[in-house]
Amino acid sequence: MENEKKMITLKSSDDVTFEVEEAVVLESQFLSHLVQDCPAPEHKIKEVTGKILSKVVEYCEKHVVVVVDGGDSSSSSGDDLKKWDDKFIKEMDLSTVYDLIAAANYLNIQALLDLMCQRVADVITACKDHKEIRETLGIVSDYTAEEEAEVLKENEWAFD
Amino acid sequence: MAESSLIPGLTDDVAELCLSRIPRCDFRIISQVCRRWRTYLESEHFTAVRKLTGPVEEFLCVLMEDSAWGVSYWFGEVFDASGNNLGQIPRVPGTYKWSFGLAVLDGGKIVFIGGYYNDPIYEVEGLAMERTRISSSADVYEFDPAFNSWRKLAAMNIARHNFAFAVVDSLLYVLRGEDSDRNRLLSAEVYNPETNQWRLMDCPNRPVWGDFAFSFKSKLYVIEIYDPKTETWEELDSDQTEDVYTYTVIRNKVYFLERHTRGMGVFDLEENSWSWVSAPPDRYRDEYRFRLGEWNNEVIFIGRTGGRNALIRNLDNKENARKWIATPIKPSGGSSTNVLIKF
Repeated sequence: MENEKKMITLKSSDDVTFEVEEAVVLESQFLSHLVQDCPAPEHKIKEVTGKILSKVVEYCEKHVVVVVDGGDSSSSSGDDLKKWDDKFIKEMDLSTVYDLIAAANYLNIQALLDLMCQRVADVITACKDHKEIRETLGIVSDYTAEEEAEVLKENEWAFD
Repeated sequence: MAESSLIPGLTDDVAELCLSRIPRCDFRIISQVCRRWRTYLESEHFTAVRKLTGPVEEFLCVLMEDSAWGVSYWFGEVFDASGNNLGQIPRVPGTYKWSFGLAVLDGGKIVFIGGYYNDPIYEVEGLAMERTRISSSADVYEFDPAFNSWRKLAAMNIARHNFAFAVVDSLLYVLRGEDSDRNRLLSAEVYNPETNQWRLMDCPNRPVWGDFAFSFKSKLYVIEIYDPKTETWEELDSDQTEDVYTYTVIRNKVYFLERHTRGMGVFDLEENSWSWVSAPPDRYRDEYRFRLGEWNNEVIFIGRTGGRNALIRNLDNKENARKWIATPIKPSGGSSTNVLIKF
């Protein structure tokens, strides 16, 4: 029996497999090239773990539905999708966000990369001061005490 | 991950994408985190990344007067969409001028055009016969927020002050105005930022006070309408504007205040209709007049005196609701002019 929709199997670095529709794979520029160039039934993605790949697949499956069933009221509308995105990132710790950024960058999934980078930016802007940012992101300041006092006094609005 | 990475756990190419999404009001705090972040924020590379992937924000830039050791000058304060005061625009170079034009080129660059200054040439040994005369200026300066600094552009062909001006499709038009003897000028010129050149052009004679211009749908409106494509002028029914001293254009509406009218005039460019709505009452006016501006797609009323909160109309139409509400925007200096930039 032949499936109506073409299915593709993705295998993570730690050998977790995911069977997904081709449309889902096409969300990734990297994978769509891979699938076109090499029509094997299974593709190993050495750079991404099963834990992260499951998140990537979850994201792509959700977003592909919207594109296919566009104006259909029974499927996700733009607002619902935004709500879904918000929930999707809220449950994540920062290290998962980092891993997803790396995966989205590698697999070239622009919307996911944008979403995750925005999450990091939001985490930074939610901090009340420079100390909290250092603590949250584990950054070690390389300012000397004098430099830091100097920087705290500045009044520049548009560094570029 | 190397010690020197921007964000531990991320490669720099993606860490840059994250940092480029931070709004400018947080740049001060961001630069305090570590030297790596500060160096990156100040780099040309960051400018490029932010232009490509970062948000474009709107900033209300208010130019106001101040003086130091008896010398007056103009400087600016920058406010974001939440009303945060983000910092200062350095003082405008050149002599201290009045009746200048302030326009925005390329979305984000502020242009300070012409004006007049007091020329102390009639001073005769202790006898103050006539201490000063005025001189119109042809000088033009441009402020680039990316460098937080001013630079001089090509000067106009004709020195002028109290003129009408507007930017239409990236070209800056300057019309009429007055010379050093306060005679009306009957010329116009257009500035092309690509070539940094001014070109004189014809313009109809119309002896009006409170001349003002604006752009709408690729046309220049200046009591008459000028079509750059056909190079023709067309008359606009202008019986109702006589003495406009401040105006702002938001979407398809021109809002203006006149010297002798209490309310605010509204000209709807789509409907081609005029109407009058109320402006903040006298008790807010502090005997001085307001300057109009645009902030969050609404008309903002900025007082002539510094240290006062600018007002916006209260959109809450409940019966006992206050009609005017104070914004957090509070320019420290007076006699202000303002523009909205995207950056």
